[in-house]
Amino acid sequence: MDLNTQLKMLGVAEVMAVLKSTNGEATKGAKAIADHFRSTGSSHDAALLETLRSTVKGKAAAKLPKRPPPFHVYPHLGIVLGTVDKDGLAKLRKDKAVAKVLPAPVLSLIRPTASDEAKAKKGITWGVEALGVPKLWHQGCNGKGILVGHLDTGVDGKHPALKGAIAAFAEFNLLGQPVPGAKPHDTDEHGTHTAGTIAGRAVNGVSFGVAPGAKLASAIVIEGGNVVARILAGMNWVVGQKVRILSMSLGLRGYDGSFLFLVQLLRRLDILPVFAVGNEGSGTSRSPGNYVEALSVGAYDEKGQVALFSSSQKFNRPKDPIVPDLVGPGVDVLSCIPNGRYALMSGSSMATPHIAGLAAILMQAKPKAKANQIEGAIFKSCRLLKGMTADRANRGVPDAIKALTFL
Amino acid sequence: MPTPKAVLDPLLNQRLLEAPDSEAMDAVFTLRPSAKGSGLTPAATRATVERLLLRAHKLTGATAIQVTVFDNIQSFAVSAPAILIKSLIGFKEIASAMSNQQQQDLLIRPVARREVKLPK
Repeated sequence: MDLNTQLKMLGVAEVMAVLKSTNGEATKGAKAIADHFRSTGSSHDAALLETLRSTVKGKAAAKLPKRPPPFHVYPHLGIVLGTVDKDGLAKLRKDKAVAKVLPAPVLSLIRPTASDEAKAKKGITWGVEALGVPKLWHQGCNGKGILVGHLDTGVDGKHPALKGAIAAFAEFNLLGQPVPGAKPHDTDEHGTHTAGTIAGRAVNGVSFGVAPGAKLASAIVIEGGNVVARILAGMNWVVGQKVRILSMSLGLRGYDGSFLFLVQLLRRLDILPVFAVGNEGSGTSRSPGNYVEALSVGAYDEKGQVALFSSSQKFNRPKDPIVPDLVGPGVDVLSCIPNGRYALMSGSSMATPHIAGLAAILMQAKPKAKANQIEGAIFKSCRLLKGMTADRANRGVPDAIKALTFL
Repeated sequence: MPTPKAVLDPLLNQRLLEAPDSEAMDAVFTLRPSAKGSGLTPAATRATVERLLLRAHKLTGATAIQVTVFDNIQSFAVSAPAILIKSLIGFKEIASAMSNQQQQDLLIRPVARREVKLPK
């Protein structure tokens, strides 16, 4: 996020002040500008401190600082990283010790992936069970008759778990024009996995789809090259397909208002936008998942803990300041991948289709309910599990049976 | 009350600052709702895009190379000389403008993955 957007959305901005001097002189320079920074609950340091407080025990916990540091000095580099408000930024820019002020760089860890093959057991996956969904299946609610928009890397239409699940498929070129005659396929495996979580049918006694009766309008909108016109083409297409829900696990890091009008339009069209919040941890989020208008989803694990990677952020706005809106099952999620295979994956991308599938089941149960009502019922059903905090999980974990009672 | 400026993607802004007027680039635009606050119909979206491109052409002399209208979502993508893109951004009908190609990975990739065999 640029500095103005950070100040507007968060009330503070994280900056890198480049000093006019290095080493010993830099330390003096840093002391001179110290008062321009402030300790705040909205910084990365604050988010990190919060995470440490919930995980560190004993003597180490006692050593944690009470407040996050307002800045860090790197004298050999002549740099000070810290958090400022609008007033502090103005003073920093004018300060004689400062050469320039830049947005603090945000880096992402390139995480390793496990490669040992595991064996699945017969039954229902932990995430589907945790949401209380099977009880609704027994009442005849499995998403039948509901069309869910699925914009991702594609979907393997030949996978046995998705037999009969794909109602429509589309692919677009770099300027968003449809590729004629496109057949369902996946350019990665992400799309097949998320599709399976929404509407996967049971295979060999293993059930991992939340709404196995629902159908998907699926489109390839992302395949390594990051082309916005494809995403818009996908959104345009799913609206034309008359979907009730849009499940999307992609976004721009930080807050970017470019998609805001589109998400507001989806709401006006009574489409429920269910978006992943991001995997960059505490104090981060992605757009459009972090819009007020989105139903944003973070991830929690089988032990009932919010995943450390799950993004969360507090915004300087009166409505819905905390994202995500809730958390869904997002660690070691079993679903299908191309070529008849299966995999466990972890991410807010895996949690998001759980919630999209839940919405599909509720829409089947109450076909006259509007998207806002479905969302409201899901929100009301949520609870924070033991050990979860609102700043990381917001409303917490939804309950399918309870949600239905609110409709 | 004056119309607020269009939300402008910093990447597009940077590219426009650096590019000569004749350089072709791809941008994606969203349109504001109608004056009454309601959404634009597909027909109104198509008509608005056509009108804006004509207006920009008259102002700059430049012509769009390729246009895709997303008429269900009040948006369009255009491949055009930079001067035409700049002209479009200034119109009050435009809500936001983004560079079509983004530098960051937009996919929210999984943090862990392990292949699994189902029971027979």
